Amino acid sequence: MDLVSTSELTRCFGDFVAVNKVSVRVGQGEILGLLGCNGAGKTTLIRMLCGLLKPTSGTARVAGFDLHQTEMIKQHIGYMGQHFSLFDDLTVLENMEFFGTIYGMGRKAIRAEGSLWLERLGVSSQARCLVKTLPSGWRQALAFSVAMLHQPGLVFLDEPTSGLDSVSRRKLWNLIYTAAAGGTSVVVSTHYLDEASYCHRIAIMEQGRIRLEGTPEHLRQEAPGHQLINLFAPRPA
Amino acid sequence: MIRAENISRSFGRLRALNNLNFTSARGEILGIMGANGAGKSTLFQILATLDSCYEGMLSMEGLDARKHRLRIRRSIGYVPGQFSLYGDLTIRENLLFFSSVYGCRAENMAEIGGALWEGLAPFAHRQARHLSGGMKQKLSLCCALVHNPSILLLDEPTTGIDPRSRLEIWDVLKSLKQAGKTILVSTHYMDEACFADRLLLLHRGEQLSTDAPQSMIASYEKKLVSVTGAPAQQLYQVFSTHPDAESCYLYGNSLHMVLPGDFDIRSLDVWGTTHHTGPLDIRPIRPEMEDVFMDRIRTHQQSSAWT
Amino acid sequence: MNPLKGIGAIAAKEARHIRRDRRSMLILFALPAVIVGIFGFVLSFEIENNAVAVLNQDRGALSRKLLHKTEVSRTFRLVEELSATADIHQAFSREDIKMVIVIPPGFSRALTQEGRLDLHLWLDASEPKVAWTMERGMKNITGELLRDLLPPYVPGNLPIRPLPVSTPLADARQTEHLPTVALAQKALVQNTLTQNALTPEPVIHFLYNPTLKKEAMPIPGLIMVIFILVSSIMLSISINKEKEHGTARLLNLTPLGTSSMLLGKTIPYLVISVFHILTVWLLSRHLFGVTVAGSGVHYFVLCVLFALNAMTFGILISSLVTRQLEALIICWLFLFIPNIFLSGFIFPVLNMPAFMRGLAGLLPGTSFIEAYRGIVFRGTGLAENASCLSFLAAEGVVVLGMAILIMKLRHNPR
Repeated sequence: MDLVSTSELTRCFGDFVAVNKVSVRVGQGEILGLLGCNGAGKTTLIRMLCGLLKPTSGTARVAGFDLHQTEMIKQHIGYMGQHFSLFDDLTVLENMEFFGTIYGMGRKAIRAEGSLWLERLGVSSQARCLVKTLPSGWRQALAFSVAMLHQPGLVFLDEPTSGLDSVSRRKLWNLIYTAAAGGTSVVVSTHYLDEASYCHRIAIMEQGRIRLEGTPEHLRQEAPGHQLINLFAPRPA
Repeated sequence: MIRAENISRSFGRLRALNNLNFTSARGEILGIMGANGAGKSTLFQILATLDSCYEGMLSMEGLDARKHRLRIRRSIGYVPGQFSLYGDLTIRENLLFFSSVYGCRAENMAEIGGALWEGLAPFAHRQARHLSGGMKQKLSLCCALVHNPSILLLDEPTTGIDPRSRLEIWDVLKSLKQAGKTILVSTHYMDEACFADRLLLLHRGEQLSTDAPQSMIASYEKKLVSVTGAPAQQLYQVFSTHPDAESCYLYGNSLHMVLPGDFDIRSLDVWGTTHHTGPLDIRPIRPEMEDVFMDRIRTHQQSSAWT
Repeated sequence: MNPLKGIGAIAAKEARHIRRDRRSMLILFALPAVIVGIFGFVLSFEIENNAVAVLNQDRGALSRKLLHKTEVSRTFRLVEELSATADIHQAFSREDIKMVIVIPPGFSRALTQEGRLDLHLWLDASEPKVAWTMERGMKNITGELLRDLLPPYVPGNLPIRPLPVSTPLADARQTEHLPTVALAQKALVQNTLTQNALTPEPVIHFLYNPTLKKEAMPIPGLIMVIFILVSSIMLSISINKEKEHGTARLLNLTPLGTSSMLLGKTIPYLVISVFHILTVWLLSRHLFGVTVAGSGVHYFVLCVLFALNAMTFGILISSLVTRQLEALIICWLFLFIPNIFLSGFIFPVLNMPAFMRGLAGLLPGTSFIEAYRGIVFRGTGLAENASCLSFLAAEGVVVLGMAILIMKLRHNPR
């Protein structure tokens, strides 16, 4: 079953067409990477699929629900934004309790699921530390664990590694793979070209459209000089 | 020209920088590479003469940075990590402001900005806060160049910027290098590391190594292999328990393994079959900067664990 | 999901945020306490011990009695005895004297024989609240004086009855006046009957704000509020905005010094302040009919001095904190509230307890309001207001010096 399937999804802001007739699908346990420059429409597409933004036209089904069933969608997906999305002055556990409760989880379930993720991260002993006291490299991985706490079948990551160093990035990707192996579908937008290779399938967005789609190996084969960067529009001379 | 000798900086008990030694010559790009919290920004604060509470000796353009702070500042162009211009002023107004503050006459924007200005000119009357990340960084760089400094300090100028703008910024840096400027630039994009003439690897305040990127990659002693042929997650479970595996990580549909340099990769097939993975495709791959960096960090952590 | 659970989760999280944020704790708990403390304290003050000068041209017993009552009352304190009518205006040049009691010759006689209260009070109305309080206090005293002269009230038996020989006023001091008192009582009774029970009142002369315009009262305070807003709060926020956006760091690298950066930043705010000086002047003149009794130039000099002083406080505050929000909070807490409540705008400084008076003396608003009242209402010149003006200037210089020192230390540690 496809967790995401859209058909000619379009969103305009005034005259500006941010997302232009995008049709894309994401299968179960698949990691789809959205690549593109600033303003290519990645964030707008993700926001629509999360139910945060109404499409101008087109239809989509997300996590088994129609796009206008926003409350149901929100309940069944996870989301992590560009900016660090945990509360700095709460402890790791308190953050988990808060987000878990928001998604209607019981205290026991939160503890169980939370300690499982902390174990995967190897930071079980820091559960009662304030988030701001933790090394910055761990925080995004923690934010991902919190987004996964209610065991969503689909998770959206909007430039989750923006500003992260490679050590922290690998840490986060390890968690993403764990989630995908558990059957969760992942949609991730990124600026890092080398990160594209981490995804199962990538879609390159440009001016609101998906210009190219395929596995990283496939696209690299097609790219001039076998470099992904060359898939982007030629730079002005 | 920058010469740093035994530079250390502590914040209370935290040793943010420990004994850094490096030089940076005219017409050279020195890349500072490090994870978050490695001390890159602390180092830039010191180099920009904004922080003088460091130990050791720093000289820039032949002058002691402590004693001649004000003179040195005239020859420094600094682009901080955080966008630090006036968002409510237009591109043009920002440039005019900074050039007048430095007492330069800015009749000709093109003269100040050079190639950078070509990209900015069409938007000269747009407020800076409405610019994209790439444009903002170009503007910051432009403003840092108004007084024609001989030293350029750029703290993560390409972070959070789309790939095309990143390349453009590096092109500008390369042409500035040819103009004879001393350039220090920090980044954590590994693919950018090779644009620098020399790299300084920084990890938790320690200088791991300083060398040209190509020779760093050439000196990588480990063996790197890619394993495919079974579901990636299963490969991970099987091979992460291999006694010789120094590191294992998933890479799309394949598994990457770091092994000792003298390891015979044919034995991996056997390990796979004993764990019922079926036939595998195992081939050595060329290391990239990221692999070098991760390896240096690993070695450093092991050695510091022993001491 | 259960919405109540969600609300509970938000509430629990918010409580934790508050508990861990010192700033929130300060605003939520300390600020109200401070406001209630100052406000409650100020409002509970009595306006007491007002300095009063006396011109007593009457030699009778009742004038002495009146002055005795004035002396022992908590409201007044006799500080100066004048000798001629010509001295009345002169008396007000003494800063603390807000009222002159003039007892004309024949005061006692007029009261005892005609039941007429021939008493004149000259009041400085430039501080209306004090003037009102003193007027009321004086009326209480004269009323008491008159009551003493009246026969005691006996129910069912209204005032017309022969005076008993043993009078209830038979205290040691008053027995000697008995004959006079009896006469006065008679006169008063007649007076009361004929004039339909009107209590005779002293004649009040208001000086300096003769109509006791209510509109005029808040104007100095409002000017103060405008300047604190424009010069202190907006300036300090603007400086901290540069710090927050990182532009301060870039400016610090330029050949521009701290002082020239500050000077450049203050100029637009000074221009705006001058604009407000003019608008307030025009508005108070045309809307409230308040004219500047003294020199317009002095008024302008005073306002500009205060604006500059307020700016130095803004700069000091921005040098102490790094964020815009912090600057705003500190400005409110340490500039706005004290200057409103303690500067004499709401409650006269002279009547505060000594330690509050000391605190008020340090506030620029106190000097400003005093000099404003002097120049606008009383028409005093530079010489009379020299202490206030020079205090504003000197304080500005000291505060600015501190601010620049702190900034330099912060920017270039060691």
